[in-house]
Amino acid sequence: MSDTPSPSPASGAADHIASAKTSRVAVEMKGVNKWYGQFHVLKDVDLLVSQGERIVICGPSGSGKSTLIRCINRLEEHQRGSIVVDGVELDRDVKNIERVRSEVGMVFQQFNLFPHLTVLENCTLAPIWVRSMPRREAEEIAMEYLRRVRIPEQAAKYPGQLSGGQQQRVAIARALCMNPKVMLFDEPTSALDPEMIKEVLDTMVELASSGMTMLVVTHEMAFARRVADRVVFMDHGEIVEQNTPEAFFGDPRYDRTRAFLGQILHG
Amino acid sequence: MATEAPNPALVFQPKPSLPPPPFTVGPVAWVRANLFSGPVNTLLTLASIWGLYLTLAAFLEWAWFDAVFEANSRRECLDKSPTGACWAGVRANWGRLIYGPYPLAERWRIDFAFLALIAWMAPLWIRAVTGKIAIAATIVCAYPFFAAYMFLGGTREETMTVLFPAAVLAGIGVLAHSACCILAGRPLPDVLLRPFGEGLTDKGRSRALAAIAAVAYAVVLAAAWNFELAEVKTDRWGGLFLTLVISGIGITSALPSGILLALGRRSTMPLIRILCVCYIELIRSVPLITILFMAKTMFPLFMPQHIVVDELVRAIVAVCLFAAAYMAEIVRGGLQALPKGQYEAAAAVGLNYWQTTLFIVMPQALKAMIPNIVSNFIGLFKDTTLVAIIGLKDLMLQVDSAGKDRDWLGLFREPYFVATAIYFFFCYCMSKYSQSLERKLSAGNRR
Amino acid sequence: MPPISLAVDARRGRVAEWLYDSRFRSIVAQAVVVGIVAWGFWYLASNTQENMARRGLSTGFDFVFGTAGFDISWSLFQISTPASYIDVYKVGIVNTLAVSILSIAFATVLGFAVGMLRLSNNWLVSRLAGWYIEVLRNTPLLLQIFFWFIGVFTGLPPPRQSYQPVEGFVLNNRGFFMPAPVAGETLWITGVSFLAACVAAIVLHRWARARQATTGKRFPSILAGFGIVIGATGLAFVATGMPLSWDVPKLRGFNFTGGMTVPPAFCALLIALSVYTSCFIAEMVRAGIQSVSHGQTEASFALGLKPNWTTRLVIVPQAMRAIIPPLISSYLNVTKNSSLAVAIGYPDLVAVWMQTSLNQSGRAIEIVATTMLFYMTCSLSISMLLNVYNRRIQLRER
Repeated sequence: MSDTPSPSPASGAADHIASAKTSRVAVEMKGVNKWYGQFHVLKDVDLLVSQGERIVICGPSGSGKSTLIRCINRLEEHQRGSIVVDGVELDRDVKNIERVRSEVGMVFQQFNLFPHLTVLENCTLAPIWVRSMPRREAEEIAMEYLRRVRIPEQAAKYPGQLSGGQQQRVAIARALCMNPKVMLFDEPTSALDPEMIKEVLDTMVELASSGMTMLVVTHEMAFARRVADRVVFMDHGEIVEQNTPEAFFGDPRYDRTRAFLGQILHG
Repeated sequence: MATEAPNPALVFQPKPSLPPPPFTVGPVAWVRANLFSGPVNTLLTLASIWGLYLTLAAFLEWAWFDAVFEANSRRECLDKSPTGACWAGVRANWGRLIYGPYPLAERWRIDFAFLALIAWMAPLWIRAVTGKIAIAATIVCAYPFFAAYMFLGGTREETMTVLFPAAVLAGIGVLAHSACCILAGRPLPDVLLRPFGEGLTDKGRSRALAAIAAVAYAVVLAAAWNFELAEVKTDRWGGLFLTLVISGIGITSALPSGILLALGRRSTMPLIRILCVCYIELIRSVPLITILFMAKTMFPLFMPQHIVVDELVRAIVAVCLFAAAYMAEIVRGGLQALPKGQYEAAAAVGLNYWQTTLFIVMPQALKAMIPNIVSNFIGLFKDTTLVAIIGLKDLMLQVDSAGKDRDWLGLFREPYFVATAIYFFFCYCMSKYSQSLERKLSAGNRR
Repeated sequence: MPPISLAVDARRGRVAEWLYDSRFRSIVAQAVVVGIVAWGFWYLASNTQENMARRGLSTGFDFVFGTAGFDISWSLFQISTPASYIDVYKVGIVNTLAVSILSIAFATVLGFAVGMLRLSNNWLVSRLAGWYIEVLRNTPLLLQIFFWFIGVFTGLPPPRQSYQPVEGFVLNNRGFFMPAPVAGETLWITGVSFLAACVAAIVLHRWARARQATTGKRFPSILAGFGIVIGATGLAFVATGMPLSWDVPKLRGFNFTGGMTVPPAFCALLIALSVYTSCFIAEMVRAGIQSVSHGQTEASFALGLKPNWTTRLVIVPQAMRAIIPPLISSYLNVTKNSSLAVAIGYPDLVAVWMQTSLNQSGRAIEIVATTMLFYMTCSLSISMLLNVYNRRIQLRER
């Protein structure tokens, strides 16, 4: 791992864990820079994610963490540097973008379910149109994933009829129906009521135990501690430090990280 | 955890923000992204510029370069420049477009009354002035009598003898009050009662104010006693003036009647609800022109023989009936948008139906609906052109009559263009105003 | 009513109980209002009766079968001359509906096009579309109608110098002339093959859907369906020897004869209504599309759906829900606005019925009532349509 701002023994440990699991690279970001107008959001970000790795990205709001994962499926365009996802470089080639998007699932803070389609149709839309899957097969797969997120009985309902937690679980199932290689979570529990956060986190824990490559932007530190292989802390558009959860929470290296953790854990 | 860290912390120094790569921001990037972002867009842009150039060039040639500004007849215009606009004709007919056939010598009265209205309304937009609701009330209740006499003139009958001075007094009062607020920073009553010192009780204050008002009224009444204007019958009213009179009366009457209809439609009393629903739906389902025709043909039948209803009054009644139904639907929208909690809270503090409506519901519902009310007014303003069809000499018809003048026979385009520009000016300003209000209101709600 | 006052004075209490009883109050209030309204009606009715008796006017619908003493300048179908009042009423309704329905069609197409341009990411195009909308909706419709009628259509050259861009399509100050189709004997074969092709296209579409469900392969069934319909119909038409001839308008004397003619007033009204309504529709389209949150597009992109599929499967279906209700009401407005025809002499319902017939027959009440009846029927059917649509949408939402 050469992407930490300064050499540290702890990040070496993370590197070791990651490479021990599998050597295949899922996402590789090198020197990624992005500007919103004059505002420099991402500054020379390097990040290497191996297959099967679970990464939690945290940081104060405005630190660029959402932008970072949105660059991975090109919902945001970066201006400098390279991003390679599953061996495909994200550049201006539309075909490459389509390929990456169909291999990368994403779960949004605001769920973004399609309100005019039923839960089942939400799940089968992309497999039918992008994967050219027979409708019946797509429906079987969708029901399978809906069972996994424990809401098969809601399949015929419309998203507006479900609770926030249920909607977010549908969103997870919808992304899984594409059988993605990488899953991105953009603050999946931030818009939920406290009692619904657990059901969504449980689903994500289950998904993690199945070996999915996950990049999760979240403030749920308990989740990070339990599931993550690596915690990445961002501020001012750069990665301040990254480490195993034990090392990250037990011995944060930077003043900035300590202040942030102090606020989020005790504040 | 963080506090128990054994190692001393490293200090995180954010990297400096760099400027974006060249040509990703700034005017060049903007032009590239918004005008030439692909072959189709480039083609569209070029085609638009070309079309725009052709239209503008043709228009400017007609309206400016080839136009005739000085001439005494259309013949002369055509002799000077056959292809250009004859603005001389518009200048000669300008008075006709604005005032219609109103007598030349009396037109100052219209100007004066409209200037008075502007002065009367201006305090509503000045922050320092207090008591805006009272000012608005005087505009609705007093100004019409003032304006009515200014426009109509003639010998004042009993009611007008009493009401015209009262309206004048109200206007003077509003102006004086505004001046006090702006210059002295205190409302008119305070300024008036200053000589009496601070020792006045509330009762004493109101008595003193009533006495001052009575004296002032007597003075105005005496001063106005011999003031008389020449009579101008409504068949001499016309032009933009008539358009503004009809739409102004329409909108001011629409608000109270619309509120009552909307309340009736939401009432729990079935008979009242049915009556209101029938009225609103009936009026909204037929075109305005049919209501105007109906007013024109049926009014003489409806009224007893000895009452002869003026043509203008018939049209105004029709417009008011029409506007009320539309306003009712707007108010109903405002009422429906009001959260149920507001009614419950009002009931919980013990307000009855009318108190709830007056102090809690209406202020909120109307405020939220101001943009819609303004756009309704725009619609009504545009719709008043229809009175031309039943023969009232409004702006629309004046365009026509300008071209029938002996000297300007066949002049159509130029007065037509000017009339369009006048309508556009009024409507565009109002719609921009309502949009800015909407933005202001939604910003207020977000906070 | 608090029970305390009952205890203090039973008699006063009973009266107060009455006064403060909400049901009693509501009944009294309703009785008062209904009484006032009834008195108003009675007052107007008695005045009317008196006035009519004095003027020797009669009431009743017997007059509708009488001969209307005037000609209608233009109608879609042939009427017997001399026309009876009931014929006039029918012609008025048909003329109103004709101009309304055509305007609705044109306005919808134009409105959607302008709305799309307004949403274009080309700044200039979007601005121009914005000005188109702004100018049109801030000037009165009547002014626009006059613009098209006096400024454009009556300013056209006389028949001898007509515009004739394509042989048979003639535009001059007498109106718009176009060829009228004249059916040949074997045209029915083409008609039958058209119907058959439609059925085939539907069957094809069904088959394509079933195949997609089982194998996942897609088939461009809509495009193919259009191909079948057009191909088969055209083939049958050609094979039967093109049994359709055209009655082309020809200049004879001072005017064109033959073919189909629409008067300048119709053209002016049609264009004015379409253009005026299109700006409102364009605004609805813009608002509808913008009401679909950006998150929907992002979610769709994140699933790998291409931009054109995203538009078709995610944005348009949602935008249509916001567009259709105001669109339907704007259709009602077109019908109501078509009554401005009276200003330029197009023989619509208001012009021939509420103006001319009323002046001729003097049956004000009957004529006003029947006119309103027509517009109310239109309005009611449109609001019924709207209710059906809303109910269908609501079922899905909640």
